[in-house]
Amino acid sequence: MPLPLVTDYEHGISAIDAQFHRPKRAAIHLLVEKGAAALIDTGTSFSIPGVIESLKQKNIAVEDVAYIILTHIHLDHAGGASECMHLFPNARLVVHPRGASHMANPARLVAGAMSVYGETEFKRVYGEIHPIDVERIIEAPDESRIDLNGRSLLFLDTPGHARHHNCIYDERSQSFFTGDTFGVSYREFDVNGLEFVFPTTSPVQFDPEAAHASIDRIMRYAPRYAYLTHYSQIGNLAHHAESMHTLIDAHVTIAQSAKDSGSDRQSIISDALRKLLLERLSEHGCRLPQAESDELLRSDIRLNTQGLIHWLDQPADRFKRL
Amino acid sequence: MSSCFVSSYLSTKILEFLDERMKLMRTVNLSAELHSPFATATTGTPDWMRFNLTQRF
Repeated sequence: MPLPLVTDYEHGISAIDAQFHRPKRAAIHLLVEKGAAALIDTGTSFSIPGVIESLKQKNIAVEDVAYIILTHIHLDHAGGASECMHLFPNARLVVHPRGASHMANPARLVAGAMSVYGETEFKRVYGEIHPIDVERIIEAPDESRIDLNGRSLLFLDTPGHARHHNCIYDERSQSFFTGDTFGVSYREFDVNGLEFVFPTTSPVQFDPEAAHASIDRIMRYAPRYAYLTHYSQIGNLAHHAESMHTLIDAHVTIAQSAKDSGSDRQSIISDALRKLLLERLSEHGCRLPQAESDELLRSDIRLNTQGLIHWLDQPADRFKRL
Repeated sequence: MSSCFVSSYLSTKILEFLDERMKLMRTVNLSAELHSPFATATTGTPDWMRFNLTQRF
């Protein structure tokens, strides 16, 4: 029996499975306030038929979607944005100022992703990405807000994972939509209601100092829940914030210890990250077979390794100079 | 030249100077607006957020 596409929470919040690579890998969050809807992140263009199906189940018309909000413009979060703007005629796209121009003209974004994946694989994973009309794009700088039928959403600039990253505070639910800033947490790793969270240091803008600061900034709001794109609602946030700080430092230590290992850096860092996460999972009480944990972690370990190597190769003051 | 003429001349020059300054300011503002073609979400911390933050801290 297939897993349900939609998970409903309180305060009109739902997670729609973006069906990205595997079930419950990436979530598209839906907020509904008195008949008006907002989507937070979009998955890829292949995720959008599932969004349409979910809206139909909830009797929400395409005309009622007021906002497509992007936490950041990595393509597992923003790849479906142009398809959304095509299908939702009244929607406006809300995006970090550093990401807005790439949504209006995605040529560089697409070229960058194609150079990593190759054209065939890119189109297989992400499909078509089209420019979005400038008139329909709203930039959301730090501490800006939008109104969803009387429900105020506050945007915080939260670098660390990416410099075009916003986290969105929903006052109604006293919760944050954190994209990738508060790490990733797969539901398969839950043990007795406690989640396992770990950082995502993927290329090319990982900045540990900013990542720590962004987590602290989120926690100053004493949120009840965080809704992660990978994957959805987590509680116990004080515990997870502490764990994220520790794990970010551990990632940095692993990277720095391999700094002078030349062409072996990749395997040294990758093996050390795997060991770290499997040990932490064991301490967490996870009893999944190791092969299953390996499979769930494989892609993140690969991306985190690439991001750490890229970070090692940057001048120390890289972000301060920009 | 009468003092009236001098006063009038200076006033005119001052007004011209101020007008130029205003034009410059308008240009600067317009440039700032043109720098980004996108609309901007409302900025600033709303009152309800200040209240809530005070309560929670």
